[in-house]
Amino acid sequence: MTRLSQIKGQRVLTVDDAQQVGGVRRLILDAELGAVAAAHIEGTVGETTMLPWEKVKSIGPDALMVESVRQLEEPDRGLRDRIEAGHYDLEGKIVYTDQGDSLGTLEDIEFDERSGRVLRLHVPGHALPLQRFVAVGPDAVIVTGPGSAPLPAP
Amino acid sequence: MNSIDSGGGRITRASELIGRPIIALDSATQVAEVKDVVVDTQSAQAIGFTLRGRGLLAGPAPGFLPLEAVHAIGRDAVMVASRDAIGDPDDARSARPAEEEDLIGKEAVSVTGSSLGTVSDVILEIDGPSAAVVGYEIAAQNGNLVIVRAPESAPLSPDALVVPDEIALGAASGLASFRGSLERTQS
Repeated sequence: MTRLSQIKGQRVLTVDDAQQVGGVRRLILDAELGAVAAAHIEGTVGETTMLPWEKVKSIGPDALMVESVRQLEEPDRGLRDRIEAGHYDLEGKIVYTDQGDSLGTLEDIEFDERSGRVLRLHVPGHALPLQRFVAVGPDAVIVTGPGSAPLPAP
Repeated sequence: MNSIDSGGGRITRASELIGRPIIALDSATQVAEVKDVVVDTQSAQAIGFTLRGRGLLAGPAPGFLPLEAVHAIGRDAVMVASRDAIGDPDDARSARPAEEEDLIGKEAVSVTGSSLGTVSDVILEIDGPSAAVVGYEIAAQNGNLVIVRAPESAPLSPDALVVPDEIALGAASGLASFRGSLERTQS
């Protein structure tokens, strides 16, 4: 289990030639799968800024390791537009239920580091177990689920 | 927050809905915010929202959102399936009702002819995507605010809202006591 706040800003190093390819700028969520799909890397050469999550070899305390620089990909047009529109700038967004009730301002995301599956959303005072994302967009994060009775953070 | 949960729905002032974001469920985008609530006094239902863009620098009002296109009216936002819920303002379905009148500021007069004051707010019972008019808040001349139950029929004209005497006499002093009086009449 890891957190958005622990991954963001981490440098990305290659195992094959110890090259630093950049740093993690943001995480790309797949709302339908309820999982982290990729890390968006800044400081890379050219347009290959996407590191698919399944290509992450290990997450250390000081770096995210990938096999080689060839594992980074170019984002497609739609993804590039969504990144620019701020869909994946997650912290500070209001989390709403699909019933229109606010659960708080998103502070952090807990997810399984192997599968990328999002487990809990952190809002002030609470860690909300995620049932399902309805949508992750430029203005809000919408979820279904136990919103009406948030569990206190452990 | 000035809303109270009761058994059926949530009792709230219509003015509390003003400024609430309207969010599309498919894209998590804020498409507008509530400018005003349009109610039909005949059916005693809210029928939709007039809209404004986000913030003070927003462009012209982006139209009307009919209540049947609303997914849910929440405590913090109004949810719609997608941006398409907000019709073209020229579209018949999203046209604002022609006979719409501003309730706020209208004089409330009892059947026996005493002025109760002016309507200062409309009290709604919100249940998912529906919002029934259950009361009116009235500002009396002495400055006191009272809430009266929405009568079965509330004759309304450009001149006044007419309220039956027994309802005027049963006015509540706030949302909490109004809710209590609603529950007593329902049981």
